[in-house]
Amino acid sequence: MGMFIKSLLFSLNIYIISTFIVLIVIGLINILNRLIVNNKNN
Amino acid sequence: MESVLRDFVSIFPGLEVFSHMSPLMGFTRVFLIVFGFVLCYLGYKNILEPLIMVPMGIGMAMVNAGMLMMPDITDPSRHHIGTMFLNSMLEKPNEIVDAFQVYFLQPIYTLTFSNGLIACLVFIGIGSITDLSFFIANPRMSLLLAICAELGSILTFPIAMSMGFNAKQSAAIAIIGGADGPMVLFASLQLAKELFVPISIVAYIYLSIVYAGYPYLIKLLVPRYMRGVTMEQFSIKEVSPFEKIVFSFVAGTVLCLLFPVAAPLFVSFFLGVIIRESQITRYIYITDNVILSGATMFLGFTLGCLLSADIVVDPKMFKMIILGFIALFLSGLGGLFGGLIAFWVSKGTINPLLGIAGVSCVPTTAKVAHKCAQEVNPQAYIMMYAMGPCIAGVITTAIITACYVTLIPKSGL
Repeated sequence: MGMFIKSLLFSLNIYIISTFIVLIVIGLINILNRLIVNNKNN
Repeated sequence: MESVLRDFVSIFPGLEVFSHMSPLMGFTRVFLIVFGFVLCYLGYKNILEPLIMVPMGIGMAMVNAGMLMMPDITDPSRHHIGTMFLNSMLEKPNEIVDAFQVYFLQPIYTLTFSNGLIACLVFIGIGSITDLSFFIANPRMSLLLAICAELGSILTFPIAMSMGFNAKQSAAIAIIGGADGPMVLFASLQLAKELFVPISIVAYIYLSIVYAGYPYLIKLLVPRYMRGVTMEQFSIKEVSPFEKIVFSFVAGTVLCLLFPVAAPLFVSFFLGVIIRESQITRYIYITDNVILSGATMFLGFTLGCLLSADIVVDPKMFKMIILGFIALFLSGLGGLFGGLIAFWVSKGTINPLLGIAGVSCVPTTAKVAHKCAQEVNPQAYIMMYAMGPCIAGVITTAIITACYVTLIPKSGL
């Protein structure tokens, strides 16, 4: 049971880190979208 | 009479080998020949994914039919049950070089499977047929749905640990939940090379079954009126090829910087995308018609040839069959749950079936979502919308794989 909880916590940790990186990718795409759209408008 | 029969059988080494194996092995061998035929037939009928199942079924049937007593490469005086196809157990360089002259598939296995090259070739091909438009236009929705659909990749890990697998093996099995064949190959090669063959086979058989199984999960969990949402109010802004190239370049570089262990997969995928968007027609032809088709055919055929009776009777295989099912079931469940949340948050403008497309199996899950929506409402063309979460699923699975590969050695598990 101890190992199950420990491994569950580890996998949830992986999920949190992955979600954080996903948020970075979303931010990156939004920044790129804005930069390219602004350049187009100029 | 018995000696006449024995003499007759000894003319055919494939039949004679039955006398050297246990009844269980003999039964499994016959079962796999029949199972290979069934997979091939279901692929031919388009019930399972034909591109993988036809070559895999042929390989599975023929490799189990073509068994014989082979002299050992290291000690020719000893004999063991083997085939003329390939030997996946060799590790020493001189044994592998000798095997090149005996087994006809050994060069393909050693030079493309053992180092993960086949996964990268498939990824180049997938990249070259992937349109990132909807994903770039709606990154937030696509990626958030895709991360919900990774539930299986996360929760299967502790379940596998509690079933007796070590941390690296559990992570390699959990990645089946990402429903991304090349990623499963890559993860098992990086984390649990000893389970590479059974994990890959379980993963690819399940990925084909996804096409037939997920519609039932959808019908069970998503009310009929939600399945028919047309998404007409949901506009897609036009994304230029230049934007897609810039995104691929930047995202690929950032992901390689964060996770160098998964860099071969990232670079392969984004190389395919950039070739497509650069509109280099010669390269597009090669990546789609030659690299993707060739790699997929040899992937299916070689995996089928790896599935010999001795692998199936391994007790770990049974556990992996259960875990593979749990992983893909949980991912489907997570994806649909994410889709239902998106439906409520958007006040009914987003079709919840987009959630199942987040289970990345490109483009199968997007096709499943589209097919289920069309069954309820023929006006619901959601394929282009579903490709966003589907592609995002490839990226999220790559991120989770990279996290497992990087963090497990440091975790102390």
